[in-house]
Amino acid sequence: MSGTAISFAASEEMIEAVKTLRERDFNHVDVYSPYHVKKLEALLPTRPSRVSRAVFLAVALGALAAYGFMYWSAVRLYPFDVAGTPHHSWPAFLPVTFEFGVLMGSITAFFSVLFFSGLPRYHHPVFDIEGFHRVTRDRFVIVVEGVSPTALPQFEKGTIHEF
Amino acid sequence: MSSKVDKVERHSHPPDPVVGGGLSGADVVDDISAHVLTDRLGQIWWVALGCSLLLLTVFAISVAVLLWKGVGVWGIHDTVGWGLAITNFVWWIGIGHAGTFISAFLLLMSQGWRTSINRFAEGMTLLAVACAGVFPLLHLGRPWLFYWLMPYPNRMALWPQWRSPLIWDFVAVSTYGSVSLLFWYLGLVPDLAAVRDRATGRKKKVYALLCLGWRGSAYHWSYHQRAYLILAALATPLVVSVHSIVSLDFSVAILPGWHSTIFPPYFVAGAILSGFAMVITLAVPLRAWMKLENYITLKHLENSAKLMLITSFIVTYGYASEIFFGWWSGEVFHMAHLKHLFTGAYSPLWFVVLLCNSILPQLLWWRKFRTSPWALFWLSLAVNVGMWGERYIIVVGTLYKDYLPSAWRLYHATIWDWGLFLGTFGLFGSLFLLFIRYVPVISIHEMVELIKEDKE
Amino acid sequence: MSQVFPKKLDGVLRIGCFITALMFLFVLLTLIGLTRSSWVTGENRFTEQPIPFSHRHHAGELQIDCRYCHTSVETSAQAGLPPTETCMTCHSQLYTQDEVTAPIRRSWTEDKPIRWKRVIELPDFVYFAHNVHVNNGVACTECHGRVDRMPLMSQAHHYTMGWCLECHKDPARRLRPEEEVFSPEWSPPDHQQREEIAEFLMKKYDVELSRLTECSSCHR
Repeated sequence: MSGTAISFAASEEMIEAVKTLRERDFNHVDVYSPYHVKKLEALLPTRPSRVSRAVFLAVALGALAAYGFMYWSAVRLYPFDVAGTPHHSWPAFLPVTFEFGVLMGSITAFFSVLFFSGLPRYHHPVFDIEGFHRVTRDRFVIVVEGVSPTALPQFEKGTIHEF
Repeated sequence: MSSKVDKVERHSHPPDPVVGGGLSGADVVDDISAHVLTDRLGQIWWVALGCSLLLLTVFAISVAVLLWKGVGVWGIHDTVGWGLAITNFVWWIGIGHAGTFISAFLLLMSQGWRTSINRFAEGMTLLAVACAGVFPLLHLGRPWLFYWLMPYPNRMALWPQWRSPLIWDFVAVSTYGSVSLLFWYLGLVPDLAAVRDRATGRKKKVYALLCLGWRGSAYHWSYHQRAYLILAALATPLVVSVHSIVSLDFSVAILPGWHSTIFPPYFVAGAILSGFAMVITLAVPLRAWMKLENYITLKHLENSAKLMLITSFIVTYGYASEIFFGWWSGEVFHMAHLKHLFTGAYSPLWFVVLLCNSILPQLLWWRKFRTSPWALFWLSLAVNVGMWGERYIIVVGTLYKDYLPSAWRLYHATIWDWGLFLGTFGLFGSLFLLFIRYVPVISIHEMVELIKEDKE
Repeated sequence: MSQVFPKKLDGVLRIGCFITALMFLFVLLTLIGLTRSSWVTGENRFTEQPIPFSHRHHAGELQIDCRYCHTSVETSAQAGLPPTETCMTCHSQLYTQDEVTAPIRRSWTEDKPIRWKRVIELPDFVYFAHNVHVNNGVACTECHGRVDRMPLMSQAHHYTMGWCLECHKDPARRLRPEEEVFSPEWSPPDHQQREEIAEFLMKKYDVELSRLTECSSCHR
């Protein structure tokens, strides 16, 4: 991977630049920032709903699996009489169903972030960009992949690095 | 978010700021990273760690003696089979609830002020759950067989008894611990990256490994923030469910003083009361010591104090309803239970409980009290004691006089009971000290975002 | 800023995670398999006895009834092991000079019982009652296997709780008529009748299914 990085001190300038780039059909644009810049969601093709869908599926399957397993073990495999309650005493199965659904959902939420983001990845070309360590402090870095600085539009404030 | 933050402050006094000292985002990053990377805590930290490790040794010895000799070294007997171990379990797990309440519930409610205390409150939750988990595990008598609680393909063709609250409890507490850990770590990943970028040498490598190679890409943030919100939504019902299920351990049994429908909400309110008390107990010295007054402002303490006042009322309502319904039932053993509560062997403790949980929190009506950190600190200590006493009364106060008068017997905790309880403070303390020394104790990226949005 | 880690770390970590997961799965499956294997359960294991007593010879070829030696099987929880006197009913006349039967005579003359070794060792918290089983149509061979074909006694099954429960959950087709309980071999007349007989026997022995899977039926 190679390309051009443009570093900004202010998020507003960065957002304007991203808008310009997107208008001129630069597709491989990413922005590195110290916090979640909500306005970028509309400018870049991010897909956070992938996480939501994965979690929904995990909660549904987890809860279903837990309930199904309890039914299978308590009604089919070893039916056992407790104080005359029915073998399929469903209200008593609900706490575990709920907890297991939540557990599966949470594990999926955590690992789907890693999976969709391609993390952990400890070596990445963007780390070679000069001053990239300030991304976690006060810099907003736009990276346009596979494009040399000369092909890019001119920006007033940004500092340009080729990498 | 800023407009919502403002909405919280409807009182006539000038609002205490969420972030003090006019800090900029970069200041926050540098300041909090420096807490982790340089030794700002000085010698006191080492002294505190030494004391905690000493208590941890007490913990280790208590566990070793218990494993070597069995639960007979505790004060439990046929009549009071639960004793101090279960009291401590309920107490510790209750404390954890405030952390989840702050980090998850208040996030969903868009309460911006939560940002600066959520990280350390989550840390408190994790460690409190760890301390809590020790007790039921050891109370099994043969803790190495704990996996019998899980469904696993065994040669006995046996499966867990799903209708038992003890299984629900096991599932609830282990889920709670796991979700808290994932939630805590997910929030921590970008902050560890921030520390990585300020660090040098071996520390840089360690934090680089821990932050999983976080780059802060817009795509990463997008997934991260969505997942964080979802985790908050998943953790919020846990605030209610975990202690409800713990309360079912008691209320499913038909003993007077346990068999009551008020138990789940009463336990949840108690959990949040004791949890916020612990938040204040930890936050007040911590902000003075680590000079975090700009992050953990009076506003945080005041809000926590208000939540204590509310939950104190709910808990008091629980006491009242228990007494009322006992009297209303007219049932002999239930009436006797009430009599024992006020005149029996454990009645002095019961009055301490009432004083600490119901009467003293009334001081929180005064704003002056709510905004004096050290006054709050001492009150929170009293509430901690009161809530522990309440659990002791519930466990021992009910069990020592059951339906069989010939079996009535007092309970005396032994030195190993107390040793283990004291020891968990060592466990909590040592891990907490390591946490405040090596982990960003304030959520950096959320603070930077909060400051940025406050300016807009 | 420069890279903190070399490029190859990512690959190494991914492969490492994969291998760890595989190892974990392997250990889990091994543990599950191991607890069921004959190494642990002792299935088919022979137990060395003071005398190489052959059930095949006595019960199979000579067709001596089980109860001739195991006298208390119908009246007690324990089937009982024969005293030396029982052996001597025949061996005072037969094979009196053989090396193999010498321990019987020694026991007789020294008045010391023969120390037979236990073949099937149930845990102490399991209360297995022989009389309850044989009086309710459960044949000896149901648990002990084809003893009449064993030159030396071995564990016919793994005798885990799951194994007991297989029958306790569904005993109908394992029951036999009273007169066939001690036969080494019995097969019902034909398939159609098998179901009818099973149903008849369940009624005859008054088997209450829910009782059979209660904890206290076996653990008292």
